[in-house]
Amino acid sequence: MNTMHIPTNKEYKVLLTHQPLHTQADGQQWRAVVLEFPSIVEEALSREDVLKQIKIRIDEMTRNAEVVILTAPALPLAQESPEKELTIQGWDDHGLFRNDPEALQLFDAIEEERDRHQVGDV
Amino acid sequence: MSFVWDSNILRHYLEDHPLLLENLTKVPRQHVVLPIVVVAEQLRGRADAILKAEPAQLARAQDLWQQTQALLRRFHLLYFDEQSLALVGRLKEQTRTRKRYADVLIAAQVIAGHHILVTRNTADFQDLLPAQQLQNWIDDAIS
Repeated sequence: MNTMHIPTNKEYKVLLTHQPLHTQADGQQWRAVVLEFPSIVEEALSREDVLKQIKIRIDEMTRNAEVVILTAPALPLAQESPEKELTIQGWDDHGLFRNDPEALQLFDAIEEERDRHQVGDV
Repeated sequence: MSFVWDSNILRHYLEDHPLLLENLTKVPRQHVVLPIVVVAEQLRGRADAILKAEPAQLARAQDLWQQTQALLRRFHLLYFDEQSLALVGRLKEQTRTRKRYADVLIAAQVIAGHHILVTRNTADFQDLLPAQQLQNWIDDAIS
């Protein structure tokens, strides 16, 4: 396990959205979400205010925080079925003579022929 | 570099050998080639069956010919080139024990092309090929 306590700044991506309030005179409702920490959300009536508030929340959160790197087993990846993997690799004609011993007899004949035909005979 | 299949690997492919199929999930088909010797053995066998068939067996023999042709068309074929032809003569002269001529022909192509021979009969090739150019996908799992 590694810990880091180096006080440095970094950039956070903040999603800013706004929508009109009930009447035009009420202005806009601004909402800010830190993308890296989606639980940190602030709302205000101006863009400047919501940015100030979200920065304060980030400061608070990081003041007493540290980043810890943990090593843990990876989630198993979903496996393709063996048949699908074979098809992906181009082996879709396997088992052509699976239930056809007569068709496979040729391979015995080939081995016998190879045995008969030795170097020196040629 | 390609994986060169001996005849016995083709056999196990056609009868769905479980470990071979497991190994093939890791190997794209375009990395495998059939040496011309293996192809010739297949076509000769199927052709002989047609020529010697009784009338009642003729349709069946013809059907096997067509299936075999369709199968072989799906593979890249490995033909002899100048290097492998030169090696055939050299291997024949170097061979001290009795060797099957077809095995020598295949070994010459494997050496010349820096390929890897995949066969179940590794014993027949041990004095023709270095160990790193010989694999058995029927009894050994590949990584």
